Amino acid sequence: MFVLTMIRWFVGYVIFTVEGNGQERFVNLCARFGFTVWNIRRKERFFVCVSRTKYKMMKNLAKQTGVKIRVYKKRGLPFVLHKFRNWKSMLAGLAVFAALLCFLSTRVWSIQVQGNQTLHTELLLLTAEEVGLKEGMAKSKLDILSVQNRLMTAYPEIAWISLNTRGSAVTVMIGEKEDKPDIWNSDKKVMNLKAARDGQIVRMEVTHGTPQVKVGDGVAQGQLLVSGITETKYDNLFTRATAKIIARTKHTYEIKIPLEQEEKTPTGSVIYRRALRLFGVTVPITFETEPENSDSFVYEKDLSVYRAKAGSTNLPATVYQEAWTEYAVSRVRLTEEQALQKAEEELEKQQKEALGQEAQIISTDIRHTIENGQLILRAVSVWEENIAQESEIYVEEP
Amino acid sequence: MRKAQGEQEKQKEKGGMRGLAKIANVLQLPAAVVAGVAHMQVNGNHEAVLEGCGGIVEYTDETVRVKTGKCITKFSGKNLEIKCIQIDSLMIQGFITAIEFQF
Repeated sequence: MFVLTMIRWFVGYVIFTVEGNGQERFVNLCARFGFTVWNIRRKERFFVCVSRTKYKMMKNLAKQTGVKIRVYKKRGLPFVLHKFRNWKSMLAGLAVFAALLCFLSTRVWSIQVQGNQTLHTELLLLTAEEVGLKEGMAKSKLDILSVQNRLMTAYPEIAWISLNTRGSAVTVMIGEKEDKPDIWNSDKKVMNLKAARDGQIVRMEVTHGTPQVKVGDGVAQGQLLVSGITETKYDNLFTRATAKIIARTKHTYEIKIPLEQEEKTPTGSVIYRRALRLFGVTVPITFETEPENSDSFVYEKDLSVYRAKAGSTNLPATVYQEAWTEYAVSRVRLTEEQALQKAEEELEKQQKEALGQEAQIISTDIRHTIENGQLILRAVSVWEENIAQESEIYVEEP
Repeated sequence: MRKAQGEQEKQKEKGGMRGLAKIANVLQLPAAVVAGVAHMQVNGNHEAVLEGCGGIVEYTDETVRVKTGKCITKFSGKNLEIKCIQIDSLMIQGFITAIEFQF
């Protein structure tokens, strides 16, 4: 019934009154001539409903039956539209709407990134904006090849990139590089082992190849330790030499710590600056100005990006928030002990970074002096580490 | 002469109708289909659908009289409305209190 009501509304219908004798006859004739009438009711008057197009034909029937019909109400979409027929503003609005639609469809409104696993989407979007792909730009000005190349240059992790435009949406599809698989067994390369640095050998574990040195020998950087060529009575065997050559090596460090230092202490004050980027236009939504560094205060900026989304699709509305954290700067003069402690911490940090899995520190000789207002720490550290380094031998296949 | 012929034809028609109704009864077929008599469907006391009717004879909000073959079917009640009417069917809605067949 609802569907029928909707259809009648879209087609348009007239509620009219029937006056005079012979109302029943009039309704019977309507039915006989195929004019479907509905909602016939007798209240204060005799009301009948009929479709808009059939009403005019009813007049002849009314004459025949001697009744008077009069329109009571007009209902439906055609009558609603008829009301607006002379409205110039309506037409102007429609024209503006059409023009706006045409204009907006020539712009880029949504940028998506797909396929990234380790690379951050927001970073990629910010870089894309820098290299010429931004929301609100004209699609005709989008140089796909240039954007692809510049993004590839900016991120060496990207193996391939493809920019697809679909309507007003641009999808940046990327594939990230994968690490080379370990080809130790599959690749029949012939390798020697050479010394990575100077040292004295303390232990050797040779699994493949012919050792060229022995425990207790002092070796120089680049010296052959284990050969990948094994000479037999009849022929030479080419192998990939594998061994652990543990040697004592010396590492020297020089760390300088100025005694007068600037110390930054957060004051707890954070200034937030926000901007709304809507349809490619950036509007500041804050009255705060960008803080400037002074002698006593410095500021550090932290940028956050909040994008409006519909499901997984980015919408052309973004809020950028800059959080400027205030730090009070004070000049501090370190005592010798404090500077030494800092230098030792730095030394430990540097050693940890350089220290491999199998290496260990045997001893460290630390000396320090104060020169020109700075503490200079010199350290000589003795390590035990694996110095074997692979070096390929190019052998021509017979 | 013509009057007499007309009466004879009417009698034949009546006889034919009765005959068809009888056949429908014997064959246990719906009379509405075979004999073309009116068929009524009443939903509760608020709606009645009448098929095979010959037109409205009288309509007020308390009475609807409809020609159905030889007889006239009278619907009595309150706030009666003819929801829809077509060439041989109509739908009545309202508070129906009685249905009467008048010969």
